[in-house]
Amino acid sequence: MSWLRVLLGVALIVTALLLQLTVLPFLNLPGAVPDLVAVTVIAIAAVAGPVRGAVIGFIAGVLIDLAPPAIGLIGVSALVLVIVGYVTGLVAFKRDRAPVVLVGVAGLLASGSVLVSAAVAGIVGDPHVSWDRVPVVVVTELVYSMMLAAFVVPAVAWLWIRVAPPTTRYDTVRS
Amino acid sequence: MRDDRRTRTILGLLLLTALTLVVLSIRGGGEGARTGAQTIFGPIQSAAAAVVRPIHDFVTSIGSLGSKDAQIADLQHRNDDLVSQLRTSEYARNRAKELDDLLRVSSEGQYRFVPAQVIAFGPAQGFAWAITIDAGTADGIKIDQNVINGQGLVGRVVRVTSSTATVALLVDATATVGARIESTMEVGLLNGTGDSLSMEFQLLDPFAPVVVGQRLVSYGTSGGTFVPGIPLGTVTAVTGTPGQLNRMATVAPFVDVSNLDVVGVITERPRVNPRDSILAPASKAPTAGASASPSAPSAPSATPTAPAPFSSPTPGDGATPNPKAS
Repeated sequence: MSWLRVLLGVALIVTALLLQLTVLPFLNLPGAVPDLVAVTVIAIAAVAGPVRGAVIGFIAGVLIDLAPPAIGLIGVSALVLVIVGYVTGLVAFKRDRAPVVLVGVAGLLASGSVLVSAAVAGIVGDPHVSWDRVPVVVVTELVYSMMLAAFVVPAVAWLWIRVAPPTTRYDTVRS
Repeated sequence: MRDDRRTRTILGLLLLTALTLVVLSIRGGGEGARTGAQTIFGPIQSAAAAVVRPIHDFVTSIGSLGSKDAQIADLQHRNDDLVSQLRTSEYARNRAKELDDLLRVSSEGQYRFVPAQVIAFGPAQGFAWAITIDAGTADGIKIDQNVINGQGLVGRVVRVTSSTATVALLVDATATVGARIESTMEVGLLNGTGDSLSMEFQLLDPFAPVVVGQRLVSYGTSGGTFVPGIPLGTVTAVTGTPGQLNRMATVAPFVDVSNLDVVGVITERPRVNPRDSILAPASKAPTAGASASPSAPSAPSATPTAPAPFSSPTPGDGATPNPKAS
């Protein structure tokens, strides 16, 4: 993986994180706040493969857990987004993937990540989890993520190829 | 398939590292890393908020206008310039009104506070309710100080850097504040549930009367975290019978967390306990859902005497009306 792509990945994640914390909550959408960071991780994993997807997911998760105003446990988002990145890479890292499939995968994984993070946080005893809100958040997250993915996935794919021309796209681990 | 082992190793390492972080965090670590992250991210969030918020307020005010009258929406297209001027001034008016509300709370409660702007909101899927504000140690802010707005108690400062601070909101599932029923002075504990519209109130005396519509203010002890007398919310439902140990009242908080903008951090406590003097008279109980919509000019929780100083040309007497001093 070229350094440009590493930089691009981190830049995309940081931008998504800033938008997620300073812009999206103030739109006051019903239910969940659109999870732009998860969608961005999914978009990157779809073009970068499972291992790089997992690494990007880890970086994104640690940043979410550290960036203000985070007050929950550190590491839960990292754990969840590693899985999200890896699974996306496994499912979607194919040459003939259809955009519609990708949007569906993004929606399912992003809303699934809410469920998983609630479960993980619940297991390790994070007092913040309120299961009453989980169904609403999961359903609205599904809708928002699919809408976001329809724009974010093609944009990231375009940038990814633009930054460094494809060479060995099926080689998932060699760097 | 030759890469399977390496793939698994990397994945396993990442998961293990994440789990280690979780465990460390449970044991109370990571506060330094978070403060460090806040030092880096805080100023960026301030800058982003400075760019984004006026645009957002502009867009929302257009949205509320359109929903009220379709005709006006048509006219908008023809009068873009005029409307944009109008919206900008309305934005300024809204900000001024929020500060006025804040001043009323502060002058009647005799607090000293530092005003601040909300610059970031924690992601709701993390289930933690927290915000970042653009004031920090440089403005005299310390951990555990109370954050209020014109409606009541917003939360408590949990982390602070030189220019920004993180505030855990009152509705967060970990928040607990000692509360007092306005009319009967009965005390109890008000707990956040993680739901932004309802909290749980448990009276210390299980036989004490509590009815729907009663309002709560913070209890506040001299050495405690919370300042006494800050409006908290209204009782909306009571479960259980008197005497029952798990008797619980559901409380709708006064503060609408979806509309937080200008807040105040109390840097100096009142010398005398204001008790419930900040609350509006009972006849005009503020409804919990009533938020300061961009076009509503009057504060929902304003006392009958309080609005007058704001609209009168002499702003100097803003601190005088205190009709309910106990």
